[in-house]
Amino acid sequence: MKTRLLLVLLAISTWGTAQNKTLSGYVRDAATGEDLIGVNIWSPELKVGTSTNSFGFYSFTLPQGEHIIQLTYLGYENQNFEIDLTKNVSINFKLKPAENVLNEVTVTAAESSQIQEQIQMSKMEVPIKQLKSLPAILGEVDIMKTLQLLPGVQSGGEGTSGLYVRGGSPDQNLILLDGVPLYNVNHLFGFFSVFNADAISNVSLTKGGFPARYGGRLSSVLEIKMKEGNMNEFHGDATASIIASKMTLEGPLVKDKASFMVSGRRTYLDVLARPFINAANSQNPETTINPTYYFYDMNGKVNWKISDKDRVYLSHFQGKDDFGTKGRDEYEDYQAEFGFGLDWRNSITAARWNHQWSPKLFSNVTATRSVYNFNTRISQEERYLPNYPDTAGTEESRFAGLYFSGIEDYGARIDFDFVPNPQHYIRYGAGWTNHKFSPGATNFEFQQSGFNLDTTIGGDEIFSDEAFAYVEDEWNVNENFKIGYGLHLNTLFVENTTYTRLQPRIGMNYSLPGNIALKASYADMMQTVNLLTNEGLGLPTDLWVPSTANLKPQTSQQYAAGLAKNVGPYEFSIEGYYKDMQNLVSYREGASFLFSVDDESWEDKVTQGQGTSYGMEFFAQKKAGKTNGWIGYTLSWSYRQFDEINGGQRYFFTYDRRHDLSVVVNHEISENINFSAAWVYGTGRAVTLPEFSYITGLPEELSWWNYRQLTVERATDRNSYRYSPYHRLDVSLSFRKEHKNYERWWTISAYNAYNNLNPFFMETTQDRNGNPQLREYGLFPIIPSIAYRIKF
Amino acid sequence: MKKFLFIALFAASISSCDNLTEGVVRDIDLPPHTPTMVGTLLADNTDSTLYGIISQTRGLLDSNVAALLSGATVNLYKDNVLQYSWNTQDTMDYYSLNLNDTLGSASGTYKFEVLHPEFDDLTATDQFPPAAIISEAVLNKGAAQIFTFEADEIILNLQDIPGVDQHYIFSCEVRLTDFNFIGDTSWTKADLYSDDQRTIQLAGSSAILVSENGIDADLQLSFASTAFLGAPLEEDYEYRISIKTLSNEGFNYYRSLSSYQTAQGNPFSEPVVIYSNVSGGYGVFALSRTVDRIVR
Repeated sequence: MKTRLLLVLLAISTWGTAQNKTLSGYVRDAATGEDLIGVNIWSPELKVGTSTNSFGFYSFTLPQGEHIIQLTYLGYENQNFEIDLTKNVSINFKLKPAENVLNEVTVTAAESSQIQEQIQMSKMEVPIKQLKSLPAILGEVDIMKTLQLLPGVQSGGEGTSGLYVRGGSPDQNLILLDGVPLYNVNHLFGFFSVFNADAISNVSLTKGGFPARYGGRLSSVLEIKMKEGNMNEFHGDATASIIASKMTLEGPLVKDKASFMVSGRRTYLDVLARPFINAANSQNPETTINPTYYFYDMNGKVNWKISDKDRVYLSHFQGKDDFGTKGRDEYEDYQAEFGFGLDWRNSITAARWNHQWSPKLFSNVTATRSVYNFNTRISQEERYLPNYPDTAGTEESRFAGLYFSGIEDYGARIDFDFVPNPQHYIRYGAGWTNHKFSPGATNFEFQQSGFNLDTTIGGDEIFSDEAFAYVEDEWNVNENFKIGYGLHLNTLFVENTTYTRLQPRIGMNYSLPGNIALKASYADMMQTVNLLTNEGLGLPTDLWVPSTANLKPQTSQQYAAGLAKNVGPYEFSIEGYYKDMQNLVSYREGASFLFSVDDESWEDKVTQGQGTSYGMEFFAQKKAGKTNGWIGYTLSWSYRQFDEINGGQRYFFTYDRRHDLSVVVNHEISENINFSAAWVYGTGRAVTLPEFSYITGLPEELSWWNYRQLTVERATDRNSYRYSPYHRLDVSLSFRKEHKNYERWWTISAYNAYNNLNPFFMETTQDRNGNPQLREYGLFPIIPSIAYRIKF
Repeated sequence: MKKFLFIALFAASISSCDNLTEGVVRDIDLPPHTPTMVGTLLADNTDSTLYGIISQTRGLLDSNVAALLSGATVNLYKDNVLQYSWNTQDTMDYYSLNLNDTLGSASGTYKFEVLHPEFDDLTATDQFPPAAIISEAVLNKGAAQIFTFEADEIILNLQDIPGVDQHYIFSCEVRLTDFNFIGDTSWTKADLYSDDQRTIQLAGSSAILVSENGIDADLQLSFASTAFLGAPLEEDYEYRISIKTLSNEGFNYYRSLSSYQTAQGNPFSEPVVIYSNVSGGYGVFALSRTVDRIVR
């Protein structure tokens, strides 16, 4: 058996060796020196090709002789290159950005790059240049908000955070920033993401048909790559809007050898709101309330080309949100101070080394660190002065509570790209991650009249180690049939327990008449980290917890099939999927994560169950031209079933959204004026609403008051009620002007342009006549904004 | 053009600030609620009176509170043979039926049925679970602690019944065993506590709910109790432990009810849907078996 395998590998790798030579190297942006990912390198004569990997590296084996090599990449001028291939040769290409980025001629995809030629399905790439032309919310173009406009990807709604991909929950998305997992990607309660578009060079989202190199999450892989920094010249980009300012600086440390990029952003909501808060407090001097909020994030990257075959990178990201409110009561006989706050922070660091071992073999070694923490704090101090009734002297009491939680990862991995010939692209690698979870501890302090209490409940750290290995191949079987297949092996070691799962992955592409591609895929996935979410709140108080000896890892199997086709600048795809999920984690009914005085650990508050989701996605996109954009529509169902929830009956997932429609339009009014609009519509979020009440009972001997009956409120089923549908229009108009040494833009935008109330939460209240009433509250009305951007 | 846009932006800013100040709300018109009948019958083998609690649902926006329902007939079948039928309501408006003896726990499938001319019929079925088999019950006075107070320890060992997912409610009473100046030797409810992670303190009750959660093994539990609302007395006293074995239906109901009561008033709690096994409406029909053991 082993001998046969070796012979097969030898045959693959020595495909006509005596006749073939390899062209290899890197493809970079001619202006900035940035690596270009996914550039198509094609031989129109032989109808074979390849593409650059995540570091811009390519390897293309061709028969000896003269060839024309065609390079194509969205947003760049096509390049044709003639070569007489007599030996293995290393050539680095530089592609020039197209003057008109979205010009139909320049960006019409070559045959090799069209969607119907690619094996990978369920993958969406958003060019940064296109992303920056979309409506800017409060002056900020946001990557996560843009991804939510794609089919199969939903937002949680107003004030909630995360991506919900094909019926999955937010923890099921592997979000990688330069290869490092990020655990919380939200600022301002989900209004913005932590990703500063000015610091990003590439964004891609895979929703299914996962290649074997990915693992650890069930529903999606979001890869975001930071810019490396301009290798040739210093440049800067600064934006000031009504809510935040940011600046990006990049440039060479050693020209054409080493570069840097640093980018920072901070909001000044706290400063802007201060006059209004002071004005409101001045009307009631006895009681003052001071809310504060700010966020910041910072990206930094350095890279150094040690030699033609070696390159090292160091990247770092950190960000923080801090929300708090303090109040004060001041009376003649009574004083009190109270406070409530939330803060959460991310920090990631990655060091990587690229090495080209041979024209056909490339490797990347990465070491990473990722930290996420959040804290919830509450405090109250009271002072009863001697003139307070029934008080003998001054009495003081103080209470403080702190809930803190976090996760810290250290990891390393090595990945190889081996391209023996144009028929095969083989990847393999392995890695290891050490996780440290601090899954929620509550500290209470109380002092009054000499009584002191200082206690911490919970907070035992849990360590786990995760190891993986994979191998995958993309095989162009013939002109009409391509297949990608692989295996991902994942092992988790935690609390003297080992979980191992071999996860097969397969994807295929078959060309039908009319240049239509029929694609299908299957992926088995395992996930060993879980996010406990209070579904009613969606605050960053969500808790990351590990799989343990008692809590099995989540697993899923996803089937997908679809059709895809390019017609000129238009791209069409229709895709259906079915996903089964096991060992999903949820809080039990009635469980409370926050300031719970019981002695239960988080593990006692959760239960495991299963989920099913299925649906159909339709996507039509015009990538080029003065008017471009897309329409995405998703019809889907998503269910959950837990034995201990809803009486064991299946119920709708909170983010089950029957219809989800996005229409995005970008129009170039003139060379310097650009208009864009995005309209979204989605079925209302599911919620458990106590729709009615009735009287039930208990045996008398089990009731404290010897009273048998009990009035309870109940929903028909868990998540049986729906909020009102969500729909929103964002518009943006930008005016560009080119000066001698810089360009500037004025951007005027409106979030929720027709001021639709999109529900955030609901409650029962009473009208003026005392009759019960159900009321939905929104969060964001129309929010106009203006931003000034300068690029130099 | 730009000036116009800036003016429009300024005007929109002012209007949106108003919205931000006052909040953005929408009042929802729910469709009128169609009342549904609700029936609850929790019957134990030791019961000499059956209590059916029959009510109707009231909508969320209904200004009237939930109320018990009159005019219903309650039937109890065993293996499809009618055993009891009653429609009389007592002073508390419960449908109560005095039995000549205790209900007992004859094997078979019991069906609970409620008929009412204005509502769909309610039905539910259940079977008696096997009785608890107590292999050991021990009292160690003063050997436990509840917060900082000395308490008595009660240890119970229950034998596993293979293939049966066993659920229990433990409650206890205490009484003096010698006549003394207090003069009261009747049974009095006593608190039960346990820090065993398998136990659930039933909200609004002194009882404890436990499930073996599908694990086939003997169950050993330790409880603490403080007898007469304080430190154990020097006088002799004894505990009567009641071990109520629940059917799966009963366990699901008690667990959901306890979660519901615990969650009340806590905005951070997960929503609770009270368990219902009744067809045609809501409510619960569950059977249980109680075994008592006195420890002294």
